[in-house]
Amino acid sequence: MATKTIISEATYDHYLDALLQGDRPGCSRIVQDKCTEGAGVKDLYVNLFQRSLYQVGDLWEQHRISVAVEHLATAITERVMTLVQPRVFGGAQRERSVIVACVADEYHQLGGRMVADLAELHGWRGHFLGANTPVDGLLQMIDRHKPDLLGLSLSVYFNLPALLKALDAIHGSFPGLPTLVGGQAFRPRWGGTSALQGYRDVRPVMTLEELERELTAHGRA
Amino acid sequence: MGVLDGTTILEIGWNFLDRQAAIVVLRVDPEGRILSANSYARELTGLPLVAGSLEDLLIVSTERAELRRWLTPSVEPRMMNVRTVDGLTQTLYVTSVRLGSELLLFGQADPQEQDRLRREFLELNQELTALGRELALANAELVRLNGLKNKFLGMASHDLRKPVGLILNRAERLLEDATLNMSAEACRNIRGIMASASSMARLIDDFLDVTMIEADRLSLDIQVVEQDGLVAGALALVQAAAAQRGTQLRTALDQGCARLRVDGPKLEQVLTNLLSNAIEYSPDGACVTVVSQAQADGIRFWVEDQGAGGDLERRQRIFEAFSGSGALKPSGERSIGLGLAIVRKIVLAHGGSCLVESRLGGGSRFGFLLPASCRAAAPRS
Repeated sequence: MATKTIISEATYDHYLDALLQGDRPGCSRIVQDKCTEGAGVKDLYVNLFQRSLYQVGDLWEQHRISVAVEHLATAITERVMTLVQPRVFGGAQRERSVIVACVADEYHQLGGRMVADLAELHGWRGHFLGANTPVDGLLQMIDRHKPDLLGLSLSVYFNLPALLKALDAIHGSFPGLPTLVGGQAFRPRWGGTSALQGYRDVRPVMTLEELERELTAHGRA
Repeated sequence: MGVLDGTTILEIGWNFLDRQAAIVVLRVDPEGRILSANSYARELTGLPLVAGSLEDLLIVSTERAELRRWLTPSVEPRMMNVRTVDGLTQTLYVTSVRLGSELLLFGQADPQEQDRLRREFLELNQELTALGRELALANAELVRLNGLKNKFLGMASHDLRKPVGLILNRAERLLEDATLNMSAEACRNIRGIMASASSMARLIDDFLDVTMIEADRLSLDIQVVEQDGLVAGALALVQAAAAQRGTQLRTALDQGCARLRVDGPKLEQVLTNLLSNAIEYSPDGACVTVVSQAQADGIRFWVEDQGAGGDLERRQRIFEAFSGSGALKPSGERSIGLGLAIVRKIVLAHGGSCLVESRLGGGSRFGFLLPASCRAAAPRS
């Protein structure tokens, strides 16, 4: 199901162009303008940030942009996301919480951050631990926050062993903790989901819509 | 000329170095004058370089003093910090070879060092944005809790107001009822009840004021008011407290601000709060003075006391809500620390600022500065 959007193709093209040029103020202006026009957080996340970063990733894979451009685009996206942040938090007390983290050696944190923010929008407390979270640190945070749900993000397929190691440790210490995993590493072309079949409480989540369905289902539980 | 001709290969190699390679190539004479510079060197520095000095590239004065060092050939890379066109600096690792009397210098950045730097910056940015998110989340939680606190304070104060009012009312009726023929001690006790209930009622009013202000429901009704009337109103409200302590109330009002464009009742509350504090913190029989000064930058009001004064550290936070909570007043009562917070909010809403001057053992004066726009013109006669 597509997200309702007020972001036109022209705006998207303009934003992508600014992103590829490393034009941080330009990107900020577009995001500010869209916020003023009333764009929803999810609309911005899905139809501007996620879409543009997927395209940046494709261009990088095709050797049409450099690693530096890709890194800068990611850093700019991280920055402009903070412009939307005041609209993510607030409201009533959260009854349920989710911890979202990237496992050790996983430095692509944007997807995880979006997941934590979307959880907030669905009435959850979304604790985001950031990139490259060591297993010990993750276990400590689970022990401290006692989340109802855990979300682990994996962008690079080659970090799958680190994810599996983390899952073994987590479910050894906290059996039954429902865990969602997602990220680019689970795109069909990589097929990372087959490695998860042995884990009873782990579910792969491929899209933000799937994530929302999971949040709703776990919210009711 | 064949493809593998040595001269051709050298020429291609040199052309690459001269026009495309990300390596600085400079040819300098024994005095350090630059005879030729490749494209990258010129683009990196934003300087023409040729006919200039090697010194122009160096950023550190001690390095400049050591120009000679760079004019001796070295196959070992040496670190040279140069100024770049965008105002940043860059480290080049420089090797050099002698060509007759001239020197050929090759300088390049360390790609591993740059990769490390890039990675560190990216991680730092990630950490900062993740921390920023945590901060925003904690902030939202604090706002929510503060809202709950205000709601509780508002509800509790509202519910307490009525019974406290009833206590006051009934105690007053008891005193006035001559048919009861009460003893002097009973009357004293009832007055004690009334004093405590009045103090409680004031506190409840303060709580309600703070709740209203914190909920951003403070709206001003700006009217033209007479300064004399405003100050007299405030003095009347503290008259009983002043009489109890034998405090003399005085005024020294500047008639240059005889008419003010302010919210009269709220400014009266400000003056009342300042006067109440001044009376409370002054010794019995002291003098408390309300001073006004019409000046170019605005209108100053001061309430001067003859209390013990305070130290500077405490002054910084004195206008914050609950900053003085728990402090013992000279009367032995515990301070809640809301009076000055209410003063601050009302003064800020008028576009003004709060003032305090205090000297340990030398009394204090608390006041506020209203913008010059709060001064109303005298009516036409």
